[in-house]
Amino acid sequence: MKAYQEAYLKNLLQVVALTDLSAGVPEDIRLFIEERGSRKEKIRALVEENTVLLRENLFPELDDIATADEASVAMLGEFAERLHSGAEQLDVVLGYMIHNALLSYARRWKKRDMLIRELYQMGLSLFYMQNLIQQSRRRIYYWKMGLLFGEAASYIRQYDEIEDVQTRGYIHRSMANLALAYDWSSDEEAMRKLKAMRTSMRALTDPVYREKTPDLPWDTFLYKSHQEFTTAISYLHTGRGDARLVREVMESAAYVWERQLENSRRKGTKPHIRWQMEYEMAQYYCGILTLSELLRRMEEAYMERDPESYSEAGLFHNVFLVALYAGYASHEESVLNKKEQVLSYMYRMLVRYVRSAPVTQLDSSLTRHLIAVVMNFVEYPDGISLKDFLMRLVTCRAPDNYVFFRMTGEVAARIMRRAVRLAPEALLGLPGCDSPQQVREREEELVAFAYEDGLLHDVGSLMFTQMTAHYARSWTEEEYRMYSSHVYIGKRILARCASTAPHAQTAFGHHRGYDGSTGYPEEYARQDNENQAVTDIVSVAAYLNRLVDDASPFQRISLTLDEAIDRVNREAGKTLSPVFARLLPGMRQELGDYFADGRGKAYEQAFAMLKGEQDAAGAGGRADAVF
Amino acid sequence: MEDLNRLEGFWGKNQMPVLVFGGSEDGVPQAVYANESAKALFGRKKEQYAAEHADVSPAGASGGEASGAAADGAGALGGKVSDTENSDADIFGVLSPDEAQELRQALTYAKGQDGPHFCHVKGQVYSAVLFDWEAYRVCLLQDVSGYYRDVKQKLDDAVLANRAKTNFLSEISHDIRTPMNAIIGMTDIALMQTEMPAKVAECLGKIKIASGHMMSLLNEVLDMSRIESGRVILNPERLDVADLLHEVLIVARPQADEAKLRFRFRLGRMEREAVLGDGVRIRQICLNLLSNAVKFTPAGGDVELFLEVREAEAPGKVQMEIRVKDSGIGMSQEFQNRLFTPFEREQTVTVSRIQGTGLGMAITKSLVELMNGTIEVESRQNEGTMFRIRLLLDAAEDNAALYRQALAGKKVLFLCAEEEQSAALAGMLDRLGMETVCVKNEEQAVYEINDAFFADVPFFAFLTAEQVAGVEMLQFLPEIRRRMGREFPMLMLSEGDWSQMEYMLTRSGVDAFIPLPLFFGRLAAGLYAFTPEGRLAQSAAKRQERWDFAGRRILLVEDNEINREIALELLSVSGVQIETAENGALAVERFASVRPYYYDLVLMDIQMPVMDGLEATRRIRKLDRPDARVTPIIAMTANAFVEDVQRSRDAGMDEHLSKPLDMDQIFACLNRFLGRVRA
Repeated sequence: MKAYQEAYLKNLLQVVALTDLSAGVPEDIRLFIEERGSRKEKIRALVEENTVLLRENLFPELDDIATADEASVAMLGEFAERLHSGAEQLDVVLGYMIHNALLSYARRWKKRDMLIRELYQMGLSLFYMQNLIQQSRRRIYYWKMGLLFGEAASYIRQYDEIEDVQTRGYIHRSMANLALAYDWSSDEEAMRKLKAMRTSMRALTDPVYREKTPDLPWDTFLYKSHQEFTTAISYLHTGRGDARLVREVMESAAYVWERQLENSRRKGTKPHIRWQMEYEMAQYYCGILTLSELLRRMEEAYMERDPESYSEAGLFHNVFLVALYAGYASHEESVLNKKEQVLSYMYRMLVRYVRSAPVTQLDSSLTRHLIAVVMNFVEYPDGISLKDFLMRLVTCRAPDNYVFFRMTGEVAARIMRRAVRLAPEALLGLPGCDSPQQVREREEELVAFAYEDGLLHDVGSLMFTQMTAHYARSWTEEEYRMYSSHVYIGKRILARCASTAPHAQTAFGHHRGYDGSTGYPEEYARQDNENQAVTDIVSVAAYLNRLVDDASPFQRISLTLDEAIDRVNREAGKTLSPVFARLLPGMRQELGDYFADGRGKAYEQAFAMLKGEQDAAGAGGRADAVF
Repeated sequence: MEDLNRLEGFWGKNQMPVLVFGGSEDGVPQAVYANESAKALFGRKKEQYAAEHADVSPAGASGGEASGAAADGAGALGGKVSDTENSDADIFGVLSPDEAQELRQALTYAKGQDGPHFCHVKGQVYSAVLFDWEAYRVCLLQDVSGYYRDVKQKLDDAVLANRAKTNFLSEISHDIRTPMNAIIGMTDIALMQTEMPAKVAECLGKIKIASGHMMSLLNEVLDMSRIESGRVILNPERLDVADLLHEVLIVARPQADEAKLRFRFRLGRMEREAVLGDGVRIRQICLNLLSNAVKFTPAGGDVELFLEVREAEAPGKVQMEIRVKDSGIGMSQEFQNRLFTPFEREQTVTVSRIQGTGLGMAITKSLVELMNGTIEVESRQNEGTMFRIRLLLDAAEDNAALYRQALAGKKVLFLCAEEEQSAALAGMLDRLGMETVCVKNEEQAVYEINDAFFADVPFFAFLTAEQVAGVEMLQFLPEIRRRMGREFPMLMLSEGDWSQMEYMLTRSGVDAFIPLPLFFGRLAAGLYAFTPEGRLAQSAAKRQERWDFAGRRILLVEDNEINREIALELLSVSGVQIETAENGALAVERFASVRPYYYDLVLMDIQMPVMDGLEATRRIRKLDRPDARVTPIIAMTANAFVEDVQRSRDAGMDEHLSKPLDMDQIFACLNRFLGRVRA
């Protein structure tokens, strides 16, 4: 690789190390705050350096890719591979950009083998990108993935003309990966996915191809294809799928599990828990196991976990298994009621596990598994609420994000109190607020609601902690586009449980401009939000907070409070609600006092949570009861 | 007999001709008596009448019937007057058919009907005065020849004066248009001055609006006078209904948008898409009706155009029906009666606020009638109006069989979220024997493309709607182009103006454009162009064109030396003589200095130092020499937006060539204006 490529990767890894909390939290809160500040400064320096490295070196190379020499092209390929090889995925979008350029190069010079490889690699990049936004249910990258894998796979018609074994391998892999371009979200999608999987499977088991290219790892291909087939369990889980599919899933799950057992016997290791669970679940759908028996086996498996293992298997065992368990327990209400203690225990253990999780190459897997847990979260009346659970997760994964959420909540609560007293008519229409008198009577309730709304509004960004914390460079438009999915994810997460459902619309609409002409998502409709005034307040609070607090590692904004209030008011009527924005100048003193030590207090709270000293008020509870 | 004597006694001495009718037969009065004057007028003798009427009595009183049969149609009135001496006397028998007809009409007018009733008898003009007398009906024929001739003279004078007025209007309208052009042009130039005081700008703005109105008024007056003076001659030619409609819609839609109206087009049955008709006039009819609909519909309302072409009963004929419906202010019944009278406008507050000459509907009706068509109107005040025009036209030949032969069996992928449009397109392609796979989003499209590859039945072409919900076309189309290769036909269906979108879409991979509303002929021709046969036909057509403009002289005005060289090189093969000028000022100078008609054509760059092409054109057009207005001036510019084309036309240019110059384009243009192409 070129020097700038090496330097970029090195900086990237340094940023990863700087965000790692697994080495432990300092004993003293002041040290903790100082360390957070110092880390942030270091990250900023690295971000700036990496941004310059790309601007001055990589981008000119990509611009002139058509005339690049072969050595540079090869080094770019290696660089891209390092950016998202395997599960590492240090910088998926940059890898995608490089593969895109390499694909153009291959097309330009009609380098067929390279073309097929880059089609495959770029398809894979898109798969990773789609994975990041998967929980938003937005389908941004599927079609292009299908187009790329499909084109690579279509070279199977020229199979005999292609001599390179690796290239033939990419053709088979692309055929198999074509299934990744579809999911199980609908019967139509499922039909396409199944068709792609069956077509690929036929080619992989066709002796003609094996004879033509005996050096390819056919067994690995077949094994991975069976693994992909077991993902149909999520389709069966929704109550759909026919007998043929159940049989195919069972065969694949058994195939994979047998291979796992065989490997572990050979290597003397434990088989991966995931494939054991897949096998058990397939048996459940075949009617071999009852739901109770399946859950019992999951409990047994859970108790065998290693709570300090952060390997792929360890993550599955400690995190994803909890999501699976909750998902299956929810199949029957009577079963769910009996499992309260088990699930509460699992959630407590999970928070402990996540708190100690190192920020490693497995970060994206951990995040995905955590989102799965959240999406299957079960709230019991006396148990941990989703809200508290989320805040603990956010603190564990990104304490700086938690500080931002909390400060937004505090500012929102203050604006709400001011609005109740000076502009109660602006709050009419909120539930139970049909007159200014009713608004005033519900002051405390409204203030508390605004606080929680602010605290939870950005919870969807949990899915993007890797991007926000580790992408040590300025973002591209593609990343902003991906990140905009956090509002969909936030809405989905919060809408799940009673404690958080009233805040779902704010999570969805807090980036949408007040007049509807700017921001995202376009689907957000103010009229559908019964708490729209609260959403407006949180939008103002978050905007002000971002301007004042300078939390972003990518750019320095950090305005004075007066400048920030002035900026907010310039956006009044367009991006932000004019009613609430115009309350800010009158709150200058109050907000100044808050920003003077509010940040420190928020860090104190994060610190307490990280140390496991969270009081009974819960993770989301206010440290400062006086606004 | 007794009755006859009584009649003679009472009416016999009357100096005026008197006819007496008794009763009626099936509602037809029967003549029973004529006095001396009447007999003299009709050439009968008294004795003849007496003999014929020896026993006559009022038919109503006696129940009898006048004897004998009426001849020469007089029976219709029972116009036989009995006379004992001349039994075949017939008061109508001596009249010419026209005189007889007039007399009959005069005698049969309904009782109580107003107005004089004239009839011509033997060169004189009589006014028939009818009244009841006892059981009879009496007709006094008053000689009004003098009065009539006097009035007729005045009428003839008036007709002549009207004709003179029409001719005058025609001439004056034409002549006023020229200075009006200058006023509008100069106002535009003045408005372009950036350093202008605000008050002047305001005044100029008002001048511009007023002169624009004046111009449209002049155009209408000119049209009306041409029609009235019979100078409008229809020019029927092969007319593609799709083209006609497209031209109407690109004008009407923006008008409706500007007036904040919902515009809807409905296409009825299109049994034939090629007809013989005067496209210019049919378009004018449509635009007149639509312009009225837009004018008289308040913002937020609806305007709808409906078009249908059906096979008529007569072989080789089709009936085109055009309907324009609006939800506007409507018309009173009283006004509908005089709607088509020139200069008539309804006198309401709303209408008087809307500018107009009151000529539009008269012109429309006249044009429809010129085409032997019909126009009907249905309207209710405050509810809206609907005009229906039916034109009987000749059908023209189409290429359906040719298209079908080349396209049958081919498969097309169509991306469109609207089921109705997908079904319409699939139906048309089915007529061509083609298979259509309709998809609603990118994922489905990609799936079908992959599937087709694996099944080894690739698509022949990809068609797409202009916008599909959730699909980012500018990202998706280039990917499809990359995937499918350069030769794969990609076509877009659009209601928009292709010239506006062409740059962006061709760079996104779109090869061609099929305008909406969708017509079978357009769609088929669009796809046919990409078949081997279609490509062959295109290249053969190109090969056949041999350009020869020897002896013609062109002034090439271009400031950029390289561009001049390119143009010279392109043009040199045609044999045309080329002289050059480096800017607009030099071009005007050069044009003015040579003898009239020295140049056959001017190719004019737009953006040039010293003087730009628009200004140079305006100056050339204003030169006082016979060729100043008629020498074709062709704009050459990279600005391909519609507004730019319009600006060059407004400046007096005849055509607009896009840069970079394309050989085919430039020669096709020269051919159009110089007309020297050889096969």
